[in-house]
Order: sequence, then structure tokens, then C-alpha cells
Amino acid sequence: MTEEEKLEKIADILDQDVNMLTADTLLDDVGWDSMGMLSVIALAKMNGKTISGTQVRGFKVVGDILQFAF
Amino acid sequence: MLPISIYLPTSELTNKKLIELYSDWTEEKIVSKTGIVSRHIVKNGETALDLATGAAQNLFASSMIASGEIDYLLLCTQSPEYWLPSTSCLLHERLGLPKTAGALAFDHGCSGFIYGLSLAKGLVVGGMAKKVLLVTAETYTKYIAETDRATRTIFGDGAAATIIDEESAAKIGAFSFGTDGSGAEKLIVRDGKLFMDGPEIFNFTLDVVPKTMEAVLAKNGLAREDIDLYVFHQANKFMLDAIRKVNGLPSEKFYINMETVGNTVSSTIPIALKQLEDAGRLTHGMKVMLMGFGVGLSWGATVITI
Repeated sequence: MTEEEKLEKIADILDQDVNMLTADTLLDDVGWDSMGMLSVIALAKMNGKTISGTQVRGFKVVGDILQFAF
Repeated sequence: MLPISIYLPTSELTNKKLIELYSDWTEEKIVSKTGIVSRHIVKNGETALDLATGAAQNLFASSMIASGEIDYLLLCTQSPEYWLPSTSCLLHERLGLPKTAGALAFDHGCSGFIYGLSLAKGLVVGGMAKKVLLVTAETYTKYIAETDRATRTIFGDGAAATIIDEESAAKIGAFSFGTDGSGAEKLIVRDGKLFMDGPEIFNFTLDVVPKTMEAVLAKNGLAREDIDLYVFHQANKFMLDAIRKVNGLPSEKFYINMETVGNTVSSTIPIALKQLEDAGRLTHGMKVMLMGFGVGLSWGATVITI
């Protein structure tokens, strides 16, 4: 999966315009909430990965999702 | 098939009321994420015992079974009337059950209906009871802090009642159970207030469901293709959607509906079965996989034949 495709998936989860997202985008600036956390956990699981609750609560930027959910 | 009746408190908490309290939400967002439009909430002074009584009375009114035929009462609740005596004894009294009937309360949540079915089947197959009244009743909303908007959105109060006898016990298959007390603090009531670690509960569910599915299929000598319907604990739409996708289950076989009741804990599965029955979707011979998972952490599954 390319970085663009990953950002598309993240944009879909966060209900955001993909053109507004980069790895450095602060999650707090794009409506990061409990539903977003669950969506990322589900995304990771579909990719065969596990993100713990403690881990996901520590995510600060979109890059954290790119790193751990794919 | 299991005769099922339900009872829901008359007071409702709608999404419209929720957005009046939490102005940065929209009704549309709540529905799309949780699948819930409204949920029933007990009023002050209304308890799980009241809900249990309502469900059982509805069952006696709608079925051919009279209260005098019940020789064992099982009540699943985590909202007891008192620390002691057992709420099952109070329910027994309210329903006017025979004094020769046994009564037992057990305190599971999301897995409670599955555990209740296993206890009821054991009592009947073991020759210890002929007609077991199984009631699930919960008032989790009493434990939720007013400021905890995410949790207030999800849970509703309600009760369900069903009867297990020799005929219906034969249609309840083998069970798969599981327990992990190390996860106790992920969903807990402390100092009267409920705390739920949503991400951790979600991870637990995604881990445990596929393994439990395979285990219960194996125990029943079945394959996935043999299952006509999956009726799992109706925790919230988001979680169930994820479970369905991760496990590759077809949407037409995977029931999701908590629109007007929310997450009623141990009653979600019997309420879902009642909804399916009322919609004419349960046909003779169908194999339905039931699975409950959550607080404890506890889980269980079985396959019933309609």
C-alpha cells in the first residue's frame, strides 16, 4: 500500500479531506476522539496488527497511525 | 423455539436530548457511529427487579406457560436490589412462583444470557428441573456519570425472560466459554461509577470472537457454512461492524440492531432474538450462533436450532 493510499484510509476514518492530512498533522486538529481511536484499532486489526488502548491514547500525529496501523 | 418476552422502562433518552446536553454532537453522528437513536432508561426508584418482573409477567401473559409450572428461576443481573438477600428470591415472590421452585441469581453482564442458557440447559438435561425461567435484567445507566457522554450514549436499561424446558434444551447446542479476570479493570464499577476502557474492550473483542467462533463450531460439529444467522451481544454498531468485517461474515447473516434500545448488557441477545422472531426472520431448522462477550472479562457462545 502506498503512503497516499494509507492516508486515504486514515482520512476516511477521521472523516477528513485527505488533502489536509500529512504525517505531521496533529490529531487534535482533525477531530481525534474515542471513535477515531476505535477506528484505528479496527484498521490495524484488518492489517494483522494490534494497537493497545494505552498506545492509541498516546498518538499525537497522523504519522503515529501510519507507523502502527499498517 | 425459546419463547422470549422483554420489558423496557417507559422513559427514553433520545439522541435529540443528548445533543441538547452535548452541543458539539449531531444526531446524525451519534446514529452513524453507534447505531442508536434512543435508549430506555429507568426512572428514579425503578430497579432491575422491576424490569425483571415486567419481562417475566409479559412472558406468562403471551405464552402457554403459567407461573405455577416454573420449578427453577435463574436471574442474571449486576444491579441487585440489595447486597442480600438474593434478588432472585424477591423476583420469585413477585412472580408468585411455587415455593418448591429453586431461585438463583448470578452476576454476569454481556455474556450473561449465554451463561444463563448453559445453566438452564444443565438443570433440565441433568433432571434437576423441568421448566427453567431465565431472566436477564440490567440498569447500567444508574452507574454512568452524567458527564460521561460517550458511555451515556451507548447503554440502555431493559430485561428479557425466556423458558427452557426439555424440548427447547434439546435445541441448545454445545457451549464454548472463556474468562480472563486480568481484564477486570477494563469495565468496572468503582465508587458507584462505571469506567469502561473502550479501546481495550474493543481489542479484547476482536481477539476473542474469532477464536470463540471456531471453538463453538468445532464443539457442535459444524462449519461456518452451516450457520444461518449470527446474533452476538449488541454492544454497539461500530464494534459489531468491525467484528463482522474482521471475521469475514456476510452482512445478511450478521444481525445488528440496537436502534431503539441501546446496549442492554445481558438482555441484548434475547432482545435481538425477539426482534428477529417478530420480523418473521427465524424459521424452523435455522442454526443461529449466539455469542456474548464483555465485562469480566467473560465470554461464551453456543448454537441454537430454531
